[in-house]
Amino acid sequence: MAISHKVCLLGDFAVGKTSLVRRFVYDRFDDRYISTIGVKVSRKPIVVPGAQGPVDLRLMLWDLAGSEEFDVLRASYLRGATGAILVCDLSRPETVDSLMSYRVQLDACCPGARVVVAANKVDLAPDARAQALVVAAAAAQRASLTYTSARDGTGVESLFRALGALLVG
Amino acid sequence: MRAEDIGAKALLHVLTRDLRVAYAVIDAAGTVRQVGGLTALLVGDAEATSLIGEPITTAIPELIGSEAVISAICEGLLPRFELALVNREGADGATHYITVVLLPAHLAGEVEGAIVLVEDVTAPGSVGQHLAQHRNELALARQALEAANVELTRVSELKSHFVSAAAHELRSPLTTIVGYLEMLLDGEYGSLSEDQREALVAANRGAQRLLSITHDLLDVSRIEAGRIDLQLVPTVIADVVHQTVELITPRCTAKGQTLDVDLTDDLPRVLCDPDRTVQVLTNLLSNAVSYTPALGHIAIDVRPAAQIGYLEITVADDGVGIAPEEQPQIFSRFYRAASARAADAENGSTTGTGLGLFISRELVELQGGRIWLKSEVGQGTRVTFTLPTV
Repeated sequence: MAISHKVCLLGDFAVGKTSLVRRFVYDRFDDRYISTIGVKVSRKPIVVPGAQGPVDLRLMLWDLAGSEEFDVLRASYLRGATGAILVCDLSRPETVDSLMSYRVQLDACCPGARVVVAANKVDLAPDARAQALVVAAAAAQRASLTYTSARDGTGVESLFRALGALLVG
Repeated sequence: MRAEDIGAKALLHVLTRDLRVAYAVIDAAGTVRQVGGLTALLVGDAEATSLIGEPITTAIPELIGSEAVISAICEGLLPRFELALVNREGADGATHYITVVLLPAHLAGEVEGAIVLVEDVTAPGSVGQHLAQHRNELALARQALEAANVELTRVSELKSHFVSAAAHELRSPLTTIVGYLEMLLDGEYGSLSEDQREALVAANRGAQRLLSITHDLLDVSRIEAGRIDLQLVPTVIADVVHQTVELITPRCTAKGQTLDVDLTDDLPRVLCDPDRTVQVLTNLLSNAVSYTPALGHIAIDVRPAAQIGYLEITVADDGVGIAPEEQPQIFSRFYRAASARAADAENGSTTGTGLGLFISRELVELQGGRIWLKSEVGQGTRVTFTLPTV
């Protein structure tokens, strides 16, 4: 029987959280930017290697609104999360700066949650400052860093699988 | 069934229908015991009773991971839990929004499970989504503009550095070239044949023009960097005018143009940098000479301005003029009027760089004055600038 894990995607608005979920779950991408308000939950079963063989996981992917006005609601959305993906946009350095505040919020609600960092939009011309910052941010949070592109699928599968492996590890 | 029970049921039905709310009663294990209200929010098209005996997470998977919270509610340890604005994709593909609220269920004073309320908040949610969309798009546009501005500033500074460095590097060798050409023309290296003199005059004209362009470029660099030093002193404007007229007269004479100067005797002194004011007036007169046909008329007029405390200096010509649609840009960097370009083409030369009027405006404004023009194609141009009096 599959083990359910609640995984939250956190990051500023328009960094591509919804697009990462859509690419991973439905293998689709839409160029239009549609702001998410509140939370959208998607499910995706995956199999990851465990100590005693393959493990069936059912990821409950919580795509949370990135806009500031949802800061107060975020705590109730985070409750019970066992994993999180911190997402930033490599073309916008300020979205890397915000990662630490999401981590603090996550740790306050869900101590022990496993975390990975996604440096998204790697297909666009990356900002040099953002590139340097994200490496430092991931290292500071002791989280693995995956360069992703929801547009062309680069790194998306390995991002979620890396988190899945952490969840069964 | 008692009458009050029937009334309560009817009231609940009306309330849940009109407020678009579904409810479920769950036991301590999170199993659904009762459902009601707008049950489509919980089970879609299926029978509402199909949910009885199922975990509440079957209808609301968003509660997976919140089992500890559900237990706390069912035990009365937590008064309320809410998940606001949960997105759901409808059969029509559109996004619907629900808010889920869990409350302890009190029966006969005891807490025996929880009531789960599911409210359809699609209408306010959609409005909120539109607002968030516009706000975020504006924020993205602002960020993009800021980034573009930073990049443009960087490129502009780079360009200014390059122009400044190039002009500096060009100025010294050009000064040397001009110096030797003038010595050759003065016969310091022996007499010249007529052909040699003509060639040297042409070379000197070209070198002088290059030198003038490098001076203009250096001025533009200094203006952009805010590094123009002005020596503002009380100045007799007549001296400035006469000095400039002396410089420009040979060119007027060569084209058979007349240059009239109208200076009132009792003009007050102005506070200006005399050298820079000569530069401004030279620019204006040079344009007038260049774009006024042979035998044309040029006039300089100096008088107290309508604005008290200023003198008004006007250079007028009956030259090619500037079209009305071009006049707003005429003081911009590198802008050259079509009539000026056409005149140059006709003469087979390029006399302007589009920097003179830009520099003139900057210098006038730095000295506390302003500059403007009136012009009509084929009739001529009047450029006026003001300077503060002492």
